[in-house]
Amino acid sequence: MTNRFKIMTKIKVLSEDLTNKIAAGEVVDRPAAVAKELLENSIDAGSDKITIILKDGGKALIQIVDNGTGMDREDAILSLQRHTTSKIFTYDDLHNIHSLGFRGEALASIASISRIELKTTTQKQTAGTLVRIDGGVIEDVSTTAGVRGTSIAVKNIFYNTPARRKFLKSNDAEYRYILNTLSRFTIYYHQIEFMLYHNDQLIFHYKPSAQSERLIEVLGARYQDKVIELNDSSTFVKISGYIGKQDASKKSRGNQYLYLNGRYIVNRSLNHAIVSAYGTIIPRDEYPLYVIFLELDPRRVDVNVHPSKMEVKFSDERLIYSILRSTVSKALASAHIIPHFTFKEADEAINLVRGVQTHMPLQGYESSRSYDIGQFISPDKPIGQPDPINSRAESQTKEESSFFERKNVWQIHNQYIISEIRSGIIIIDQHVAHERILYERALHNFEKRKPSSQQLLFPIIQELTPEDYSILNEILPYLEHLGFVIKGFGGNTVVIEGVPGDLKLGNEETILAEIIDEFKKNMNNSLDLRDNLAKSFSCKSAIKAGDKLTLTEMNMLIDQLFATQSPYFCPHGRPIIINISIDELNKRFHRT
Amino acid sequence: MDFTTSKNDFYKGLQKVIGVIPSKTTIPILENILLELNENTLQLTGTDLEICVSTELKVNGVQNGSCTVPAKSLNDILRELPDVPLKLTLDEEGKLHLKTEKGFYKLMSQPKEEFPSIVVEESEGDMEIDNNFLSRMIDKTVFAVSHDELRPTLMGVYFQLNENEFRCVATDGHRLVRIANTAFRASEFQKSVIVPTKALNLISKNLESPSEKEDSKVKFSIGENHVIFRMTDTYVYSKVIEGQYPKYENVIPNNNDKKLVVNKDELASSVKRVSIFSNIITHQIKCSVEENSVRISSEDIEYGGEGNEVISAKYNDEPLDIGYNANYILDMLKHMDTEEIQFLLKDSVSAAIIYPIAQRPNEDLMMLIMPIRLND
Repeated sequence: MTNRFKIMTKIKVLSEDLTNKIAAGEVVDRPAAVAKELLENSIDAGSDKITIILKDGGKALIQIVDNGTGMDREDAILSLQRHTTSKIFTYDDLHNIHSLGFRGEALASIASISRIELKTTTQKQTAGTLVRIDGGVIEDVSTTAGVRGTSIAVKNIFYNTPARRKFLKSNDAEYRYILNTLSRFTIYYHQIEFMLYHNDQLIFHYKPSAQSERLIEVLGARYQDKVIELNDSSTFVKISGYIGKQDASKKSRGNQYLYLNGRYIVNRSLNHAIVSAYGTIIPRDEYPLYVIFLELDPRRVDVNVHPSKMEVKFSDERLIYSILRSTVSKALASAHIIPHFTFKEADEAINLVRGVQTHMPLQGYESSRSYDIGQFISPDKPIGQPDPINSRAESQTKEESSFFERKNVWQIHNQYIISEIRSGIIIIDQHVAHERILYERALHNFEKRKPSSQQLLFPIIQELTPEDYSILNEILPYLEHLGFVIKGFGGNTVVIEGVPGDLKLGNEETILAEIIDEFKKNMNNSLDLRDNLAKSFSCKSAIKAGDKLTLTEMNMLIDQLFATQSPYFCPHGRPIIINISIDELNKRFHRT
Repeated sequence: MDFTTSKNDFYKGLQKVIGVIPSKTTIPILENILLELNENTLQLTGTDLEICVSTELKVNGVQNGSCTVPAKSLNDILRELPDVPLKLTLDEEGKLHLKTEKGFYKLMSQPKEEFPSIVVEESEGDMEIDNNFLSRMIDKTVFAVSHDELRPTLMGVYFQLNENEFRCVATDGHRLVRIANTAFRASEFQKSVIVPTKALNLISKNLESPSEKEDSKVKFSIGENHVIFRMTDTYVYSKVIEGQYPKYENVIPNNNDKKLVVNKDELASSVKRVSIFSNIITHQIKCSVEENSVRISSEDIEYGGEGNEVISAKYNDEPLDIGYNANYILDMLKHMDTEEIQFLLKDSVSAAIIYPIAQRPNEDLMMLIMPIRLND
């Protein structure tokens, strides 16, 4: 006991080297963090050209060469010590931060766990300063020939903290972390030229370019045309950037960049705002692409939450949440998510037929050459130029055809609807299409007065298990908003007296049990109760694969589908429409 | 098999049977029609295994025999031929030759043995009913049957024969028709059966055919699980739908005390117009019943259309707003014979009962329709 007590009383002030190493644990956990801190410094120094040189995934070397303001001899030495910075001076500055760095600890932390070679030259000077540090101890300060800017090389990271070194991953993995970190900067700072070398190979070279071009350059050409631009400066938070269309989403996170005043941040709440704006148009296990820049008065936000500076605290987070969410959903709604989606009027088909009919007798007279039917249906020839006599009749037909239903709609295997559109064909899965319609209507109905309800001549008596009965009690008010009239009958028995007016005849008996079953299944997914009920209801009362549809029903379905907010994906995230372009068909038939 | 006939006779006979041939079947032989020649009588038979229709016609027989041929091909070629003499012979390879003066056609045939044999079971009793009467009973009810395979008992018309009356009932759970006639009574046997819709449609079609005279009778017999309707030269045999028909009498209200009388055609044409602007799926219209008038209105929320009409009526009770499926109303009005009809109402969520203003002698026709509960 006494022995132990003795040990505990021995309180010592830690050496600066040790505190730096402890602090380094927070700021610098892997080479990528070093790269981030150094890049921030280079950017804060006003560089417009930055070269990054890596060896062995950054474990052996991370070198950043910039053409920024540089430092004089005094500053260069000072910069490597803790709590020294040129970026803020007073406490008030801390609440009004315009630069990326400000804590004044990064370089010192890095210096304590690696060997650093710092070469820097200011514009005024002709000679530069070279500082060599080994594990936080200055080994050498000398004068060297220099060009404007700073070159800092961080070697053998964690060489003196073996515990930390052990936790590093493979070179490849660390390299990927660095790439990931770099992309956060290269996307945003599109006016800065970036070059990256890894193990002496040039990996990328981004020249200064427009924001949108840089974005595609960094993300890859396959995202060309797959992003929607975002712009909203109507509120106190200015939102700009890009969000991906639904086919730009990925199975893994990544491709999600959120910036606040130029700083890459991580914020679960805002991420949720964006993802929830997508709602169900992307499958549940996919992550949408977004690159969003928020600009906000720095006084309304605290970036000094964590040494890594990726977390921020907003003074009005809820408000920003809703603004961001509505901006994203507006952008999604206004964008044509599937390109060129317009229904081809039946008039073209009519022209085609008319063309054949009006010209055929002429051909018979003119010559005996056998005519090629292909010339009438070949799409690149003008067909059926209406002559004056026919034009009147033609315009009438046109009017009529737009008045009545589309004829170029077919059902196959009592499961899919095929229709011709201008750019090719679309295939619609009838079940999920109807599901989407009913789902949105259900959600809408919850907000409204109770809808009409077809009363049943033979009320349906159903006995439920106690569990199902308790679920029913919970969702009963919402079921009534869907058009059900259900009354208790004593015990766990209920009577269904009315059903939604558009419920398919014959579903009355089973629908309630099916909805409850589906509702139970979804309960594990912690859905909102109403969302769950809407999903269960739409899934169970939608027309099924195998139901034959009339032309009217198909047209109705298509009309209603395109009146929904997201006609392309069902509430569970399955696609509703597949689009096959005529180009694609041509390619398949080797017509290109 | 060898016989001669005329195209028209043969074609007419075929028409009586062809309706039973299933359009989609997993048993290919059911797409065939059975031809059996016995002396100068040719019997044509088709079946879908549930229902069997058979008809006889007179031909000039040369040699007895039988075969089955694809009904569709036979029907298609006969339809395209003018009324010319035909000679039909079955060759040794099993092909049926159909010869006209201009040419010949060969149809692949399969032997009678491959065709499901129809054993017409013994009936427990039968009665003779007038053609017209049967025709009317079917016509007034069959439109209201359910097409929902999940409730098979509603997929047919319920025939109830008892000492006092001959009654038919049809319902799909949203509307119901009941027609009873006291002139035809089954004194010998009392029985209730559910006859499938398809069989009734085939009977209706046969009753319309010119070979059935106005005053001819149908012999109607009921067996353990089947019914047979024997007409002049055709019979329709059908299995009955098993199961308990719902206790419909319990749901027919007897305390509907608000009486509304309207002109049938006026109501029908108004409903037809107004329903153009109703929701295309629910066909929901609103009938606002007031003193001596009915306002019929519709509103399609999805497309924004609206329809409104007021017709005069006889009514002096409290005003009611009731929602209906316009198609149900129109179906019912179509099957009412009188110029004026009468609705018995209770409130906006209970069944409405519709009667013709005057019943035919010995007849009692009643229709019932469930409303759509309107928005609160």
